[in-house]
Amino acid sequence: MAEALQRLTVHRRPARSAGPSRAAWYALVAVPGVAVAAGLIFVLLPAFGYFPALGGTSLSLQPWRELLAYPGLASAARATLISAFMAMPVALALAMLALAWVAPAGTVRPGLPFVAAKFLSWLLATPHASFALGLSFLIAPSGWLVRIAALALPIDTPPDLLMPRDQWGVSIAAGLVLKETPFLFFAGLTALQQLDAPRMLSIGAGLGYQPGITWFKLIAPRLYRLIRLPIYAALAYALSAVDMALVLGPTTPPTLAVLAVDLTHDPDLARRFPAAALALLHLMLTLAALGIWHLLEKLIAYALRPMLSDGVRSPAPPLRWSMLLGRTLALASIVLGALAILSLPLWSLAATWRFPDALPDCCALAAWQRALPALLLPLRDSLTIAAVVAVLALIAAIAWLQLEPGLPAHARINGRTIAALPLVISDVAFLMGVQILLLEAGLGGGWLPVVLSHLLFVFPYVLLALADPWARLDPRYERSALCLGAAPLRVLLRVRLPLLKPALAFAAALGFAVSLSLYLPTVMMSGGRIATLATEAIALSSGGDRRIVGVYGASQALVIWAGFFAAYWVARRAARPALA
Amino acid sequence: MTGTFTWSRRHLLAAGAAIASLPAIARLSPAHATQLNWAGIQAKAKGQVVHFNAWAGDQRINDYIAWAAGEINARAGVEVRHVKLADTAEAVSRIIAEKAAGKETGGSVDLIWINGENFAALKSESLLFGPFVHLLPNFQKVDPTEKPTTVLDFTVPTDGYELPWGMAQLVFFYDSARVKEPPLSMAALKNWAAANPGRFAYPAPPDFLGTTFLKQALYETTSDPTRLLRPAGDDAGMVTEPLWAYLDGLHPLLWRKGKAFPKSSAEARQLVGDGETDIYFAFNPGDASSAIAQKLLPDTMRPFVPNAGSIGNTHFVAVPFNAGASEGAMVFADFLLSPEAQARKENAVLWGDPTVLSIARLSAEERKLFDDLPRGVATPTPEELGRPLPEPHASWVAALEQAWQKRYSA
Repeated sequence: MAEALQRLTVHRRPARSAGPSRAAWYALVAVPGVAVAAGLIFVLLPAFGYFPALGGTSLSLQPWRELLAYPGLASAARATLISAFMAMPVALALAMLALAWVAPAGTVRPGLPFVAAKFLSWLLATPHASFALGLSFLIAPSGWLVRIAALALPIDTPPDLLMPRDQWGVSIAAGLVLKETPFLFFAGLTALQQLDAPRMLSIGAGLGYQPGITWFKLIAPRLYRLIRLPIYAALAYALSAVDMALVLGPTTPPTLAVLAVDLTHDPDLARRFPAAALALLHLMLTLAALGIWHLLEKLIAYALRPMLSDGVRSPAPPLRWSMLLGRTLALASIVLGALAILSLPLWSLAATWRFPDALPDCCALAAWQRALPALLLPLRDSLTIAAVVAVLALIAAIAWLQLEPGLPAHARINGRTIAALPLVISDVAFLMGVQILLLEAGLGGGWLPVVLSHLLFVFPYVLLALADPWARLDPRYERSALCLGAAPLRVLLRVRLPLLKPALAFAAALGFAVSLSLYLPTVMMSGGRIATLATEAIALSSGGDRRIVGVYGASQALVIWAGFFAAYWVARRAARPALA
Repeated sequence: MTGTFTWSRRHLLAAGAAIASLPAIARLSPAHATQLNWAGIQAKAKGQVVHFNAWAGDQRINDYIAWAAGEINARAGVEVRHVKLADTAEAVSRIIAEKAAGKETGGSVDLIWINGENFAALKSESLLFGPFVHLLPNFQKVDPTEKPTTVLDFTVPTDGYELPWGMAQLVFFYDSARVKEPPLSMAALKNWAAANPGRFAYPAPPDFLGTTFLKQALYETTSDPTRLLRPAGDDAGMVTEPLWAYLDGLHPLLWRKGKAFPKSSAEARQLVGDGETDIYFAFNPGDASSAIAQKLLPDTMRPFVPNAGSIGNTHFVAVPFNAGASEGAMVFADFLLSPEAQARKENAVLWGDPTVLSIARLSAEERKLFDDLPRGVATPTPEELGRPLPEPHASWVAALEQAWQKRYSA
């Protein structure tokens, strides 16, 4: 429906000189395309022994032999796959259950669902690094959960349980579930608004279906198709999450992505050959995982088809119980996530917090005072990078969307797929390739590589966030302006952009947040010269002082929340009756 | 037995030779290092930004570096940025990669906190600037005869390419509220762990303290400890066999049954603070005292040193060959070696890392800085510390780390 409307508006637009605008659009698409391709080529070559700067001038299989002989490779692969394939179905199920409960028709219901949605948006806005740090304290045997339990139970020594950092990757999976559930929830919420859910629900009700059944039989399958890209992005992220794995993952050996990064840090530069092979292996694993997921989609769709069309209108008791269980789990994951986030500011204010005290010896600003001098530089650099990246991504997205309408549908779809590539392929692989490219060119890391690499990850989010409101803007505003004789650029600047102010503000805040959360691109592209709040929080996480980690984690989250709050404020100020 | 562990005459001779050769090397050194005088260096340093690449696994050390950076900025106009490393190898790798890429100037590292195998690697590849230590006024206050490790790094002569920063000796700490009798040998530690399973952990190698634990255990289990002072060779497997037998028995008795390890000594200390373990160790004798002062540990912590003695060494700072701000790096390094900065570093409340300076070479006023320091309840006396065991040759590090990884990280 929305697409049809969009196509209608496209055709009604006045014809423009298609040549230059088409070329400009292709140039925009080329940036992520070329960057990813270059990164992959320069990881492919060293993986087969070609790396002139390090004396590798002929092709060989030696890097692969070294990689396969590396102790712990199999366990690393096992932990990586288990964490991703355990986390994703659970996160997806929880997100769907939460949607069916919180906003079945696309608008959030009042009461408890409203509170749950608020918490979910808060969880979504919390950066992965901070979140992992909070969660690792929450679930450790001497952590907050056990400390709370110690209020009622006689616990004087923490149990000797292997978590976090278990060798199966279950702790990472837990972290991923809690972080990806809100991501998929909001992707679903946005998609639901395109589905005309209220009408489907009323049709279902007219046929005598209970609302929950209508939702799962009529809405969920279509919704799934709309949020496939976020799901794939989440799966790819789960396989390559370095920041979360450093905090929650196993150490002996770590996950594949961490291992690849470790190998590039080895003083023995010859290790960069097997490192490149590992990065390539990671890429193949990611592609294979996406393929397997796609296959599972088909299998499950086939298996569920009879159930979808069996005509049963009210849930059988087991189904009813499982829905109740799902709702409870969704709520529990929200509570766990909130506790994990809360533990960081609490630690940052603690004078001491000894086991088994349920609450810290509060409150002292000593940690903030100690950390502040060292915090200012990373804070300044993080904000600078995030602001520059968010603005650039926003401008690029506006240009992209403005140039898009003149193009055939398949070009538009291909373009968006290329823009989203950095999110669904292995970032370890293509970032390592870019690093090798910089090394071969005799260039170090620095501001430009960091900003450009951030842009690759931020742009698709900004584009996706802006595309929907962009397409839904009532075309009559612009048509009137054009009829009055305004030039297209003037129409864009004076009519479209002002009307889209709330969407622009949220897209910018999202870009800002994504940039502030990025860990791996900063580490790999900065050449050790630029530290951000994300990299500092992880670097300090093994420093033995949770109060300081709390300061860094909390400030990273606070800055991001401040960005969203500012966007919210802009949106509220800009809300006018004309938009309703 | 213990006689074989302490400083042999051979080492003292080597130390003497290293000192004697210093001026000679200075004469032979590249022109840019010799033609500089201190005033010229200070003038060039003003306004430079020094990227100090230093392991950041301990917040107290980070705080200390932040203090020193503030001081040198105010005094000499040098801006020091602490590039926080999880593992020093990261910076070493970057320096080597820059060399491979032909980046001969304006490298990303200006000053690096280093010792042992990382120093040996950079020195043997000629990737260090220098020799420079003779240019720094405060180096006159170091006495290599009194503290041989200030010029011998894991048995490798420093030849003026790195400046001593602090003395280290492996010291164990235990919570006396939970442990009645501290285990004073590796064998006793295993027996204690058998009676108290899950209450001890050591950081996973290649964390340098984890590797040091392996070396300490190797000293106490191998039949010929003097063999460790020479480079590891084909017999490494045979020499280390008793160590692996010991660890095979110890690991099931460790925290998490040896399936997970803390990432750093600071994390091992945090485990004691959290009540998950009862014993940890550190490379700085004041570690527990300063942790008590910062409320990271309970005040029932007490130190102990194994009966056989414990490994001691010195940690250094060095300037890479392609440093963009070598003058600023030297000015900052000299400040780190000043009596004022060294006394603050030795303060058990702040860091507790012993000085490399020779108290005999200080003025009365400078000496007073060290006399007034608080010691803390959990700092061993010099008698308890004893004379340190020398570090095994730098080549044992890689041999031990690789074998450990093969056995316990797969």
